[in-house]
Amino acid sequence: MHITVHYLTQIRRAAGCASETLDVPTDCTLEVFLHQLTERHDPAFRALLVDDANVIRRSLLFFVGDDHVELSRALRDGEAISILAPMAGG
Amino acid sequence: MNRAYHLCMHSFSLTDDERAIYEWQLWVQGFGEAGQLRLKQATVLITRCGGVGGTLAYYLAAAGVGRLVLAHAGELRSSDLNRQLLMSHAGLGKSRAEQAADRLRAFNPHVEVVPIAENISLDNAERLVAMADLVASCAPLFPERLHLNRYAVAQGKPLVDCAMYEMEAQLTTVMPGRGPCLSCLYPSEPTAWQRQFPVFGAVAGTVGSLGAMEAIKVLAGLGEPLVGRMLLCDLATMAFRTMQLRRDPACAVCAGVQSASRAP
Ligand SMILES: [Zn+2]
Repeated sequence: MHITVHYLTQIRRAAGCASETLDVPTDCTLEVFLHQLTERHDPAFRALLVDDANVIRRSLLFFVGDDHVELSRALRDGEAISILAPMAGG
Repeated sequence: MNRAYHLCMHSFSLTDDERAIYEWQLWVQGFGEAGQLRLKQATVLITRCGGVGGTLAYYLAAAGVGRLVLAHAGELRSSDLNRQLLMSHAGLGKSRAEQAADRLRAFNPHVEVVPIAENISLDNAERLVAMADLVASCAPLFPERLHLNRYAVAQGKPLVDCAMYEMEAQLTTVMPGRGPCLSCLYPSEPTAWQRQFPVFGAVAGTVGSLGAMEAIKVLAGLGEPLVGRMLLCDLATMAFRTMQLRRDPACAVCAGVQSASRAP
């Protein structure tokens, strides 16, 4: 199935693109999808998404469509994910 | 709204001079003189009055919020001047909080401005939040925002969180017990954030203006604040999206907190 991912803030910089569409196995959760993403990008991107123990960082916000979701969310064909590294610029 | 506040509000009125200044906003449907009195009665804590907080403070002063507490440490540097509109070249090397306060007093002498030359820390957050009816969170570091969030939730005060990075901005309003707090969103401190960030003043000012409108809405009971929602703005493409947020039932800060009966 096809999943589109939109990158926001520092994640966009590290990914080098604003969005991309990936072909992933069906029955894929958000967490599995995110680990697949880290395999496709460089260490800077990976360091933003996962900690030293390869666990997805809890300080990131993940959305499917416009909804803030948990890592266990099952993804469906055609859905769009947004990944936000939260901002604090004041 | 508690009883004391209610009684107090009715003992206040607008002067003729204030009616003249606010005349055009008194025409806003659902606002009127009752809304203006609510603003006049209110105290807002603004933490750091830089590119975001300074713009937010400017618009709250323009709108006639009665008392603004500005918490911002340090002296003005050249690199602040691309975005910090309350400052001036003549103020380089001088207190940011003091010159921001002077600028706001000159702009609207009806507003009481309290400059505090401190940034938010664990030592002062509880005391500073206690001074206000609403908190505007505009500091450039997550620990400051999370300290404010903790005490805003503990004291049942609304918190408007405004932030930006490069060409993007985010905005949400925390109403303790009614929606997620910042700790629901960031149970651990975001690691990617760095103290120095790319910024155009106009991006900071955009989210500062939007945050001022959130504060005005919450204080005056207008419209629909971003409770349980987050506005994401991408000024590179001018795409604005409103996301739906989840409250974390296990949140270390707000789990079990019920909605306060008291409005600001
Ligand atoms: Zn919470």
